[in-house]
Amino acid sequence: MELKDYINVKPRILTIIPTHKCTAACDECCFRCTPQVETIMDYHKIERYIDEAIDSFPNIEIVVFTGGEPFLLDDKLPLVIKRVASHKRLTRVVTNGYWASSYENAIKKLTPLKEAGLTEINFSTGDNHQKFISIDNIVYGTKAAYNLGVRPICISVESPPTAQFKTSDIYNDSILSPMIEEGTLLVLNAAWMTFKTNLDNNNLSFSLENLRPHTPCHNLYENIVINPYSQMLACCGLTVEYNEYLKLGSLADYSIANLYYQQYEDLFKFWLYVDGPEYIYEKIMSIRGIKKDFFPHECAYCVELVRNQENISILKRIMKQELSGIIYRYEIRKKKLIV
Amino acid sequence: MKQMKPIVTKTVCGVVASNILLVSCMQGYNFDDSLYGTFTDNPTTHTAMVSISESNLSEELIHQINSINAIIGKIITDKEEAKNFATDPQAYLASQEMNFQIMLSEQEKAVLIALSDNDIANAVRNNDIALFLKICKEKGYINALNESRLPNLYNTTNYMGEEIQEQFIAFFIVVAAVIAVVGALTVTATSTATIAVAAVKVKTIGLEEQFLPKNCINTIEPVLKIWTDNNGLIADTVLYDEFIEYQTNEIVDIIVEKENIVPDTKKEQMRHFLKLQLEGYYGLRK
Repeated sequence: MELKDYINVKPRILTIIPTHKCTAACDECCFRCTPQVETIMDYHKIERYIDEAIDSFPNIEIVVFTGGEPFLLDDKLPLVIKRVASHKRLTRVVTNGYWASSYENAIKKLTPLKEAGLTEINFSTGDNHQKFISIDNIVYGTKAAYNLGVRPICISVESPPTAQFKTSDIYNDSILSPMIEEGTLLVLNAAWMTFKTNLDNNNLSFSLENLRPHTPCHNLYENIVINPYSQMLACCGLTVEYNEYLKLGSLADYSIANLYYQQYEDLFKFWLYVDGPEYIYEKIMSIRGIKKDFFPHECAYCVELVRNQENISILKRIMKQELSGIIYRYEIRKKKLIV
Repeated sequence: MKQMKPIVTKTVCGVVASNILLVSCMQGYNFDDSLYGTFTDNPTTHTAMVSISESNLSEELIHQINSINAIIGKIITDKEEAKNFATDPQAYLASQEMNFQIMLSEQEKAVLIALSDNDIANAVRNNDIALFLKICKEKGYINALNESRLPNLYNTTNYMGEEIQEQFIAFFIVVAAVIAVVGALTVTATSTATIAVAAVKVKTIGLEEQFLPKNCINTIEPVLKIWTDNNGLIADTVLYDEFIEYQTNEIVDIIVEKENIVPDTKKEQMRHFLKLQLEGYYGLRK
């Protein structure tokens, strides 16, 4: 029996990041996107990856296009959505809404996508985003998506406690609140972490606000992720591009199935899957006798683990003794504890 | 179908292959003040941090999976077995002729002790959540705040003399260390009520994992799984009273009344901050 058979996860999501180019250059962008980034994946390649992923993993239910800004695929975006629809799968596009400068423009932009088979749309907004794209765009885009029958629609809001713009602003919007009441518009607090070096007190407070208890990382194994350079990634986490152990290899040389399955060779990923990065980080810090730092997001713990060679050495050293506990926790959580 | 080269999973970063996209080729990114520097290279093949085969753990992995499954099968159905295993996991393994080490945390042991506890069983069967939580706290099955778990609060003396705001921030870093062992319990949190409602009407995939507060019942406070496995989710109001109101009052009491770490004049301000943090932490914002 191999680990892949033991865990037996069947990926449900294919995430394609066709570009890190964006119309915005948000301060806290995890992929440090700007309008100056050049690479946009050729749409023929995207179509090939869609076909291959769904053929290899028929449990895939949805294909997510994110970025960067996937609307920069321009007239190719409907084509790739249509490719997904030809496989009878759902599609989600994550966007900053720059194209929705008016309701009419939004309808014009979304109609071909809806006709191609778009099922869900996510808008990202907040203080960072709104330096580049007005909230009005989000309202126009949401209204257009709603009237075209896109379901569900989500608005994801950057949510530090120091935020000027909050999710309550969405809830109180007279155009958007009926959609929320109806249940077709979801408003989400997007967990953000800093990606800048000059962390100030406001950001620290933000960090505290977004503290989460350590949780297993179920981003692993369950999502097939492809970046603009045809690199398969182990997850779509915020720090994935900074972590060599989450880079699965090049699709120029290997198939999606190949790269997906060979990640099960790595016990580090299994441990992340069972206990999450914060748990591991805490253990390593305890062994090193170092007071642990606090980070606002589990992805930050993950990258902290791999940034330090001593952490990696300890992790390798203790894996054998930790294995039984990892397996135990994995198994006991699957069982029903009936009295 | 793509021609498949044999995959070699590296455990040591080797020579850069010619078709690795080097970071230096990625123009236009805003790496100037990037906390984590530039992206790592996009390699041809995957690098495993702990390779199963190279660590010679293949057989050990299978052996432990089979053994642990056998143990769990016994302990979740037999109270005595559960208690014995929790009391001394190593001795239990030896008695089953299993020769590997296992380390259980105090919380993991607590789950098994609680599972074998008749008082817990009666509370669960009577659907009495208040009694269940009371017993869990009294017998130490959950890590709800008590003074013995707050030694880190004393570290706030390092911050004495600084601006009061900085004290609060530093304090909450410390408090968070304690709170971190107490779990978020439900997905039907107030701030995500819309999501819960909407999820009934529309299908979403993957969003839950990204944005909802994580249900930590199986990880941080595993004993609560005994309740939810038998009786379903715990109500928000119960959770709020227990894990926010109660904990807020406990912490305020300790650091203001007993330890004088924060002056009495700042008590209400601190209570407000603390409640805010706990609400965000548990996803139970009113």
